[in-house]
Amino acid sequence: MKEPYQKPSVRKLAQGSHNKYGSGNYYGRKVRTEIDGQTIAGLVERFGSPLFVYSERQIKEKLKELKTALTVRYPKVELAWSYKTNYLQAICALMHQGGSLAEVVSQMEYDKALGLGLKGKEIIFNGPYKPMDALETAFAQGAIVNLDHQDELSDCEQVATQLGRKLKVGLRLNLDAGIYPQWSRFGFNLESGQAWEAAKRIKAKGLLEVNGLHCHIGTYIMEPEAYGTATRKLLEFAAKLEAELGYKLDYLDLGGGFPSLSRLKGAVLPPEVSLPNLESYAETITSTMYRYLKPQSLPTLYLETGRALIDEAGYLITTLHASKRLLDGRKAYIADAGINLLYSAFWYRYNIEIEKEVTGVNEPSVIYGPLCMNIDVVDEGVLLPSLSRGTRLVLSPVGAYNQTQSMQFIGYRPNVVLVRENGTVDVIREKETLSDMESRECLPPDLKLH
Amino acid sequence: MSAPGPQTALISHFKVLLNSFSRVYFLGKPWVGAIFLLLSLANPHLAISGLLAVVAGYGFAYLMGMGKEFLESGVYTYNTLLVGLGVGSIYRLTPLSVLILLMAGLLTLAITLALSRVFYAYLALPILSLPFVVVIGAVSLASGKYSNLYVSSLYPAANLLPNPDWPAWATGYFKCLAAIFFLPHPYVGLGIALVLLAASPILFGLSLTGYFTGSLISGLMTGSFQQSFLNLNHFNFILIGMALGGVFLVPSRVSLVVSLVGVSCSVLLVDAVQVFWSAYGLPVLTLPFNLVALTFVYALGALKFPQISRRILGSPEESLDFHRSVALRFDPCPIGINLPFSGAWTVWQGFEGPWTHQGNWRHAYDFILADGKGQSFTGPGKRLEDYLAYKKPVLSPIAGQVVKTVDNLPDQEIGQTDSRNNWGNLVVIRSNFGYHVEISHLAKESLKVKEGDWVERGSLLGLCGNSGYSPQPHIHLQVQAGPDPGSATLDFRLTSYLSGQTYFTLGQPGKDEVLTPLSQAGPEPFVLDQEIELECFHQGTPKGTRNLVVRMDPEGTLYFDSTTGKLYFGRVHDGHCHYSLQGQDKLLSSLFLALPRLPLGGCNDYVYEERLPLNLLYPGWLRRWLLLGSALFDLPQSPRGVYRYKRGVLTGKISGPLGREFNTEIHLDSVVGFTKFQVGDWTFERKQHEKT
Repeated sequence: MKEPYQKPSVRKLAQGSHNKYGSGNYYGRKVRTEIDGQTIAGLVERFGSPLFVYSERQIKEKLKELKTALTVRYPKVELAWSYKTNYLQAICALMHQGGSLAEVVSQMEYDKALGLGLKGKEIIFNGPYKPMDALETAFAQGAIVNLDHQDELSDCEQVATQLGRKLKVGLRLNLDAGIYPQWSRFGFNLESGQAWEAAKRIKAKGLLEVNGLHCHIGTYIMEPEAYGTATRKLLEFAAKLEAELGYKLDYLDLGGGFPSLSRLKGAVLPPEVSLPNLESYAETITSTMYRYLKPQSLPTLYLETGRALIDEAGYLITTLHASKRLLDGRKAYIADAGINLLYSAFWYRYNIEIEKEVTGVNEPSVIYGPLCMNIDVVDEGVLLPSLSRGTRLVLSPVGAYNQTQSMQFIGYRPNVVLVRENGTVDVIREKETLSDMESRECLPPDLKLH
Repeated sequence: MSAPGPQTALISHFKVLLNSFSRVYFLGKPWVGAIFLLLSLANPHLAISGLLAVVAGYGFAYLMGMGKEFLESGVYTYNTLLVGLGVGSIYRLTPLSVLILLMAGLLTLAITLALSRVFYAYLALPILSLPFVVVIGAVSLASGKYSNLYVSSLYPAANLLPNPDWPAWATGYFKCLAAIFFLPHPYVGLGIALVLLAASPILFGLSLTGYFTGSLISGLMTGSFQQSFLNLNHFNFILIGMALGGVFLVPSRVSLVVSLVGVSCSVLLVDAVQVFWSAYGLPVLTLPFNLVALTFVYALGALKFPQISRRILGSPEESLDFHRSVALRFDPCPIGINLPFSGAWTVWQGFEGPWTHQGNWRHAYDFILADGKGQSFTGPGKRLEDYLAYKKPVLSPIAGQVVKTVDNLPDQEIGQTDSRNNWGNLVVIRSNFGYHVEISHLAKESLKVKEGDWVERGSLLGLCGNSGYSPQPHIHLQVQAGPDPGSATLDFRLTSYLSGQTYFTLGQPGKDEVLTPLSQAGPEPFVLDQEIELECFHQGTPKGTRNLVVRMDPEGTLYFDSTTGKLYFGRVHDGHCHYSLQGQDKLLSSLFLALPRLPLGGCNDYVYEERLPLNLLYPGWLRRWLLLGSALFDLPQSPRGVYRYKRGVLTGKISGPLGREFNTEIHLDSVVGFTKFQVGDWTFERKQHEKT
């Protein structure tokens, strides 16, 4: 196709390494004019500000990257989309269309997965709180259930008695994979013998059958070798289960925890430099599996990756509403998006990009949110040139956890749009109105003012 | 299973008798045999002689305890029948002629058994009616000395029916058709022709083309068509036409041409044998037919002619239906191996590839990893690490023993090749079935197996590399007869994979196809003696409950038995396949239509296309004419189903000739196989708690 004609223009090279001062603190800055071909200005004009923007292309590419990295190394791999990371229907549906199962940790998430058309056996049910009726539904529908504690084990045995058949369950284990802090609050501990006790108890009762092991060593794990250690320990435990109790593993679930390119507060190196790629996680896990398993009885490898799949595909566009000078001399901006929308601001520093090129020298700046709350700080110190009122900033990555943990607090939550691969933009969540916020409230008649 | 009662035993014996009659015209249908038997009663002496000979031969075989299938097919007893008919055409029934009948009958059986073994083992050929030719020749020669027999039994062939006043060509054709039964009479011939037309339009057509081609050529040569139409030996043309055109070859336009060529050539033999044989007082009989048919079939077999019937069934139509729906569905190549990797790899070079897969090494594959745009590397592609395939696991495609390994050759930098050690680091595995698989160009010191190790399908062998004569990291796979690296290759197929989205049980993918192996199958969902209880609904109205039982036939093939039909199925390379349906049964034909095949390894999303046997969709008579049409004009096309599996449900769109189109749907279950299926207006639901 012939490219459309574009008028030539002269631009001053003031950005990044092209300006005469290099990429130093004074003139280096980041600019993002568009997301997948949609200009920032155009998006805000159509859908308002603030605005969450997701890129379908990036979601699909990331999913494919992880899936390929695993499947070319190991034949039986299933990804399970971690609902809590982002359970907007459109996002879940994209993941499911890409072949992912659902990983849910509550009745609500379970219902959401069913509502999207998934069958029970396409759902992995985790979490420390599974009420009795949720367990009953899950088992009746054939969901994969990973047990978290001894009491849940008893609950499951009760369900097995009710349903009149032996139920297959997975055991969630916590173990020392060399990661600090070691997560020990979920599942049965391996090293102390808790897990083995649970398995023996299951065998003795005979109402359940262990067919899977689950382990989630933590979140934002920057060391692939930790997964190798966890895999090895799980497979050694599996071998013991098979040899002594006769339980054969159908699956091994290594949870999630792969990092995304978001920068933890206090991190020195940028994430592009400090983080290993997804390939190295896949390599460590699968090579360990080959070392311990026979080809005729390979268990399915489940991964509940959330953050690494969605975080970088999400952007938040925010508009600067005002600026002021703080007492210590720093420049401060008040943006229209704050911690009500950016829960992850508590531990991440976002990549902050300006919608257009701006001249001037950088200075340390604070970005506050719109809330009348002291804690509403988006970034405590970012180098920005002097920005005029109405300038838009693009924050990323914000795809993980911000949607699910955003608050109905002080303001309305904004539109969420998805930039499609075909170049169109779909609203996937409309901005809230007062009636959304009050729809479940009941005002006793005698309290009405009129 | 209970033993068959005396009544069913009697019926099956009677079927054998009738089958012998129908086999004379290459059909395996008792009702055809029954009509032929009635027709032969035009000369009672002849009919009874034939029956006596068969009963004697069959009884003898039965007493000797010969196999059931062997006896029931009628193939082995029809020579005895022919001999009986032959003797009966010369001698009327007397004690002496009965004696010679019995002698000849048993001799025929013995010769049939002996010759068929020899022919099958050394030539892979059927014996046709050679035993008959030998025995009846012997009877003719010997009986010259039996004056006593002559006096008491010789009789002029009785002509009980009046001769019609038909044109010479019609009389000639019908007489010749009947002469095969030693009853050269136009009315009998007419009866046989009508039966052929009803039972097999293809055979009927071939009898016409065979007879008239042969007779016209003979007439041209001798100068008298009248004479040619009077020659009873021309029945050989009919037999040759039918045998080549529809029995030993799958009926088609090509087989019609072959049959006409065969008939034309046989004119020489028919006339030559007549001169030569009659000098010794021998009848010509079916000798020319045997010589021509056997020679042609053997010659075509030696040429690996693709349209030779792999299984000869009850009629050419059945063979054709079988060929289209079974032979074409299941590649006969004896070697099928798994793909040597996990995930989606691309065929870089296939069989007879343009670069190196030529001559002795033409049966080989090269696989690379490529991204969505077909590029095999990221970045500049100048370093080995840029290549997606580099250091990815290579898995064993077969179960067997490692017989040869090389592990210490360096991985060549991109742009360099090692032509001294062109196979690079390699593994050769000897299959438990005798052939060897060689995998080459592995990464240096990446091997996880050593010589002498036993490996399973899917065992980790090593990592993909760039050693040897390899321009970029790739997996080279070949099957060979010997263990030495670089031995001459053998033809093979790849099993159980997706090409793009399309599922293949067995296939030979071409260049640039993206292949994903399916994981190894779990256990078969249907096991012997399992009972499946199904509730049937027609347009939502309950139509009662039906039971299916899984049984095994003497050859070891499993089938669903519904008492009115048998649906054969089995496991083909990690896939469940339905083979064929015998009998008429809505439930079984629906199950076949809804689920012609199913990969048993896990896979969430795939499509495939299947040719379906006509008997699932059309009643017998309609089927026969459809098959005649499809043999001659490739039209109408055989029915096809396009299937799509997604998340537990296999849906099919079936389209067949005469505008038959409908949808199918089956809900699959990894433990019990299926829970529910729907074909057109019919729905079948599995009951929950079954005995297993």
